[in-house]
Amino acid sequence: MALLSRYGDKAKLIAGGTDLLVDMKNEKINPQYLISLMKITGLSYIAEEGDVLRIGATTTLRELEESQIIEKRYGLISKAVKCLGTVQIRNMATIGGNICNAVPSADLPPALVALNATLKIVGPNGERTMPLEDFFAGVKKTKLSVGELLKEIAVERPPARSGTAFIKLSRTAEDLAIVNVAVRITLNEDDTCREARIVIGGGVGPTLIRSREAEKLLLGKKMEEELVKRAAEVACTGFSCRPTSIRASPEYKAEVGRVLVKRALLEALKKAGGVVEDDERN
Amino acid sequence: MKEIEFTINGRKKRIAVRPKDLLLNVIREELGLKGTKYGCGTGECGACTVLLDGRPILSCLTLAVAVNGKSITTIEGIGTDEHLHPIQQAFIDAGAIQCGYCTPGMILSAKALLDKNPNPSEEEIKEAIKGNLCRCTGYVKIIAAIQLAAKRMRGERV
Repeated sequence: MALLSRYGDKAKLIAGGTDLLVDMKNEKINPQYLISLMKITGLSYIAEEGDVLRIGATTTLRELEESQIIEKRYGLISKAVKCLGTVQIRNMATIGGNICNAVPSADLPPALVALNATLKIVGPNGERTMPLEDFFAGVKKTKLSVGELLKEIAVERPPARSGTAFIKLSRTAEDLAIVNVAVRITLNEDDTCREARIVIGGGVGPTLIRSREAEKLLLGKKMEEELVKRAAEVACTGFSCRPTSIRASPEYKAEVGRVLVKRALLEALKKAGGVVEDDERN
Repeated sequence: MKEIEFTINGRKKRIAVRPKDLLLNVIREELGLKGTKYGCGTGECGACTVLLDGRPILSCLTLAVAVNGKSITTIEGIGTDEHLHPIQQAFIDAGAIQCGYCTPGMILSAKALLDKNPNPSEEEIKEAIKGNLCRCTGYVKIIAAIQLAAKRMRGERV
């Protein structure tokens, strides 16, 4: 912390380095100082306390992938991690880096937002918390102030009768996403929707998008196919991605996004124990 | 310059490095171990793969100062000219080497897999070597070589 306040914006924090060093090699950035977080041993952990899972910021993606707790009870995170990069990258890259680098196509943030993740941020003025959903300020921009760093990510364990799904579309699995979708739904006893969280990432705008409007459509209703389809359409309107994106055009992303959101919702519904009709025609 | 100490292929080394030195360059230029290859330099190809405390990582995206106190294994550390590692032997026997540039990284990724999982499925093998690009073989013989090595390492006489 002292180093960070001494060097201010002349310094960059480095964790796994898989993005930062590439940017330095490409001369996109040229920080005078690098401050390594990997020497702080207390920043790497996966701990479950009741219905909350706490993950230290420098926990590697491979450690998340190998965690039994995550595999069993936070399957959405497992799923997102497994479609990210290669073994080598996952051994190096950290959850904190995947979040703080604020790349719009990152795979973990949508899954974490769907699980209502909150961040613990430490800085010169002490600690503060912030929902991950509010953390991104733009392409490669976050709401971290100079001198602050991300310490911990906490996610809620989905309540009973919940289902989640994560779908990533990319050219190859290790490639950056064209669109990725993470959803979490919880059903009432009568199979109506109690809560829905629909998050779309993969570069559909400067930051990921949580579609509250689409979620609202589902609340209190039975998630029948027609309704799910409409929610997916609402969720995928108004993407503001760059038309020059090399991976896909905005039109393509919206088109394919609608299909993926629908599929993800139906998959989550099935897992939550709801009845899915007409499952064949995705 | 900063002095770091780490274990490379079982031997302790103490060496002075600059803050910006990459592990790959230290291994190749300072230590003279040329088995580890420079491919893309941006973490796409896996030619620079080494094992850090047994896990495959990319030495082209690792700062040398970051391995202080840790243990590195390169391709030179897993067998000798007289006694090749079973994975190395299997790559030869299965015809899994063509130009050879990807081979050191490929073998180290395979070693990390087999050390943890002695009987991997084809899918698990593919996942383990997904980060190692080969532009010659089409991967079929590489996968066959890893399966052959796995059998031999489990004690089967094949």
